[in-house]
Amino acid sequence: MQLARTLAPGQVAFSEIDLNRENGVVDPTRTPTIRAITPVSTRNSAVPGAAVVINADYGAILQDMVSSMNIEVDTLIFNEEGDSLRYDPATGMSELLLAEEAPEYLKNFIADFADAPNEQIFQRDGVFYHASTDQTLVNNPGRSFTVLQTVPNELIYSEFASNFAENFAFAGLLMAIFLACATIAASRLTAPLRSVTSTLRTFPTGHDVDELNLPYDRNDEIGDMSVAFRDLMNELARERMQKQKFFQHAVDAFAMIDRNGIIQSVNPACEELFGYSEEELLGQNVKMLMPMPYSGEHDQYLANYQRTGKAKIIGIGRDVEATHKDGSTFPISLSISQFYQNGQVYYCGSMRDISNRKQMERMKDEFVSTVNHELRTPLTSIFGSLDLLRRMSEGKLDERCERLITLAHEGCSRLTNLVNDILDLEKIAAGKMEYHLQTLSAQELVEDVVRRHETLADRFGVRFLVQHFCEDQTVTVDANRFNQASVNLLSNAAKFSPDGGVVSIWTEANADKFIRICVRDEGPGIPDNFKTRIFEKFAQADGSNQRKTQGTGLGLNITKTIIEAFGGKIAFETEIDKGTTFYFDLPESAELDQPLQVAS
Amino acid sequence: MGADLQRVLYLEDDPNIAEIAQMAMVDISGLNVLHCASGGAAIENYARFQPDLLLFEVMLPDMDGVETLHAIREAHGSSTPVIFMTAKAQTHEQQKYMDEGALSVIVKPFDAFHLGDQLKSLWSARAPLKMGA
Repeated sequence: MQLARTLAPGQVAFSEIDLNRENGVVDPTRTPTIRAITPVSTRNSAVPGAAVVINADYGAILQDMVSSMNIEVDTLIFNEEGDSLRYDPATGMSELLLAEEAPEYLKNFIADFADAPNEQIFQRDGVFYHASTDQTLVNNPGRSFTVLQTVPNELIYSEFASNFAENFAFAGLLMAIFLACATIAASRLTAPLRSVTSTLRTFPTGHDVDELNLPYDRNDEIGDMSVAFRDLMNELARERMQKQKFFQHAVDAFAMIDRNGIIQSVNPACEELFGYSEEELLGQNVKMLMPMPYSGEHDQYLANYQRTGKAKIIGIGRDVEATHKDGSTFPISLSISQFYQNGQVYYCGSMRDISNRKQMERMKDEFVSTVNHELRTPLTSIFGSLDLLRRMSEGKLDERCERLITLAHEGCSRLTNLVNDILDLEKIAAGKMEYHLQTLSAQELVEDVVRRHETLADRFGVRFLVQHFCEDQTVTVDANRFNQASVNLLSNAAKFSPDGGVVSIWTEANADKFIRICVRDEGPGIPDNFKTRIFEKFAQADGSNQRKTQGTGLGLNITKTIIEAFGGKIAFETEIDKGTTFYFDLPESAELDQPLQVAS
Repeated sequence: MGADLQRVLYLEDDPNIAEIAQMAMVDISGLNVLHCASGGAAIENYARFQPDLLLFEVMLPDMDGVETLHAIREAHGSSTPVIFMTAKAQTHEQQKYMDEGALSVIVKPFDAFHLGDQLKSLWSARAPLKMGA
């Protein structure tokens, strides 16, 4: 009631909460009571000493208040004095507990939170608390309430988790944006590259470079690169075109086969040569273009070559028979080269129809044969007549007539020799000199030649002397050609020897499986300026003795050709005014009388 | 067989050469020579003349020496030795005539003076021919 005096009219004051006392005696119901006091006043002045006091059950007020709140968590409500009320979701609302009745732990707990600011979240012993002090409930200072609620971890964490999720989502978004930007940027950079790459990859080889769709207009490296690439492609295309044209327009036929003889590539000339189209040829075995027996042997030959490296045509080239689609055979010249690609061997054949050449050769052959015949027929009459005339008129004619007959006979001999030599020369030039090789005794060959040409010695007034300075050896020669080669040496030696001179013929061993056959004369020797030309065609040294040096000048050339065909070598040694020795070395042969056939 | 060569059927179209050759064979070597200027004449006279040796020029206008030889061989089952004479002196040409079973090929121009002797020695040295070969 003392309190009421301090109040202005209209003001309401609240008492401390205590157990209701009526006339100094605590109500046995122990009801916490709050009293609201307001002075009684008239319109203009207070009525001294008069006040209205209302006692209210404080616990009930609080309980009403708390129950009106939708509380689902453990809640402690306390005032400044430490009076407290607890709501436990499990047990419900407790009775109001006055400060002095509160247990010690609660007193401490309340003390800890008493100074808390208006609203705060605390953590104690792993539990979060939300403290909120409300002073509006009662307008008197010091009559404030604090509501302390535990905050479930789930709530805290869900908040946190939602934050985290939000943050994460944001970061993810950022990353996604960043990635998208990066991708767009990268695409902008690499897309042209990709397009260029794919264009180049799918661009068919052999197409016009102008059809190549590249970003030439771009003002960046890709544009530069495209232009550079186009230039390169143009250059390559030009080069390829050139090679292609070379291949396509070559007059000679080309065919490429693999190691098994399968045709890989042909040119139009090849199609034309054999009458097959490219489609008919590709993938087929090349032996289809060969007549028997070559077609049957070709696979084996290829295999042999790859195993032994023994080539019959590769790197050599030769004339062979080929089969046309229509079944006819025709001669071709064939040369083959080989090359490696990706470790595989391929063979490239270059072919040319030589029917015309063969035809020409036949015609030339016939022509030479005919001319020869036509020359020889009158020559035979003249030669035969003179021969018989000379023999039959011996001693019957005067000396001058006999001399005339002799001169005519000699002239005729020369003409005959010339015809023979020209025929041989023609054959040599055409590579058609034929050799029927036999393995024979070298010494017997030499003796035979000398014996058959004793007339030469008689004619030139010289003597032939045959000697052997080594054991006999066999050589592989054509006896007739050996004779021809040797006679040239013998007749030269006889011609250039002085009257009564000796022509020595001997055999000697030469180092390393060669036998040497020598023919020595006692003639004037060969002048230096003629030495280098001595084996040339129509070579004749200017001799002083015209009578003796008559000849066609073809003899030594023919001799050299024949000796070389036997695998031999010919050379000479000469000394002016002393004489000349011609010698040739022939390789010794192992077997006797084994006829050999070699291509000329 | 053991006897010497006597009768020679000589086929040659060139009259000059024929004359010279006959002179050489008849006058010098004493052979009995029948000269025919064509293959037909040679075939016609073969049976009557019964030669020991045929001396045939190869190149003739109508029927050449080889054809004449074939005809005689067929008509008479003859194995009379043959020697060809030719101005076709190339080796492969000569070989062709040797392949026809000739004893030899004499290349023109020949050594007229020794022709008869050459024929005699070739004939004597011949390997006996099998009938029908």
